[in-house]
Amino acid sequence: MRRAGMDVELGLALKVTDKDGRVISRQGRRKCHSFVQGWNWALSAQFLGQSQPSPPNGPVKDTSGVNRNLRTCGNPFRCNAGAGATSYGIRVGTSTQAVSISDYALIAPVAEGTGSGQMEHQAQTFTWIGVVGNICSFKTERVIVNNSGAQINLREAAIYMSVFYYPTAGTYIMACRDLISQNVPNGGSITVTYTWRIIA
Amino acid sequence: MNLSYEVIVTDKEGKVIFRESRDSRSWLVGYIQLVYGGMSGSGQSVKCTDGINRTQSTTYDLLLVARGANDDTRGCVVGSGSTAVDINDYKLAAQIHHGTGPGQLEHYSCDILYPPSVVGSQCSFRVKRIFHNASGATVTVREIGIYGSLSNYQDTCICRDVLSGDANIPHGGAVTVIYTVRAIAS
Repeated sequence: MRRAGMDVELGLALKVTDKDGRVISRQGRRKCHSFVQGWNWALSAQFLGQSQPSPPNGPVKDTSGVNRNLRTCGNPFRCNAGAGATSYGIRVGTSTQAVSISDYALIAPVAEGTGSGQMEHQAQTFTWIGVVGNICSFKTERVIVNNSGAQINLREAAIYMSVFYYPTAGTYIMACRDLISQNVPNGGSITVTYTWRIIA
Repeated sequence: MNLSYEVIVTDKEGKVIFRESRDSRSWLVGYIQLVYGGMSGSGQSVKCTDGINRTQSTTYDLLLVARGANDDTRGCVVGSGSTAVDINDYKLAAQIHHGTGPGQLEHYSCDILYPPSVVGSQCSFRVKRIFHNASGATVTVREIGIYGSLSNYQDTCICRDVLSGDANIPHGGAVTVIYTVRAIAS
């Protein structure tokens, strides 16, 4: 007999403000179905805990599309990106392509900057919420500002996080990818909030 | 991310005498604390299997589950308790320890069956361990779980499940526990 299982549930909320800080669009937290293979590869590498797995724990594509054999990581799952950092942390993009388990990067990621189609990434923050009733959760959030001179239409969001590959070098994998629909005017910003929770 | 488990009991001749396959509902506080610590780089105070709170590692030894034979401090574990799962559980209710004494089971190595495989919209890998009964009498398993590391030398329970029925392991028999960790994109 099977019963409904409880996932580690990922939620995504979005808030867009204009140049005056006024909220012009908001998406309340919705349940994501967006863990992609990168997350499970990173988790399996930690569970395994080997510096030189044999057989190799790979290949799996990093966010640059390069095949890697993963090993235990010196900063596992790390995504506490600072301001301006886009190799890891929460990212956004403009593609509407459907999510696939094999996705390894955003299809059309928005780069850091103030040029055409670019946005400025602020530091990612984390909030431990803890146990409330039978739910345990935390959230991680990033504000991304549009000073490009024109509106940018965002259609995808993701979390990039650090992994190590053999012999010992760092790279990044995409843990999840979600389709969104938010237009950010010039001078405005988007706040992307992912909530991780479990329910016993 | 979905978790499921399979428990298979065989007698001394290898004949399957009990099997349970279910979705797990049992990720615990310890698991999400360890993930949070890794993601944020800010180590959490996590209750270990000995009941003491310690600050977790955020480096190489975080969430290590694989373990060699004869060691019951890490990896898949089994117990005889039937207390309902609570999100704050940090150990099994009544762990069955390694050995050949009364009420004990010999712990084989806890293996991670990797690399993850992708089938359709799912990507999964498995955690497996065999426990052999050389105690001289039947040993009953009612709960299973995974102990994962928060540092080199300390562990916490990251998931725990209570079986729907008693899994009686006859002398000479064995129980195999397989957890499947699955990412699903849709």
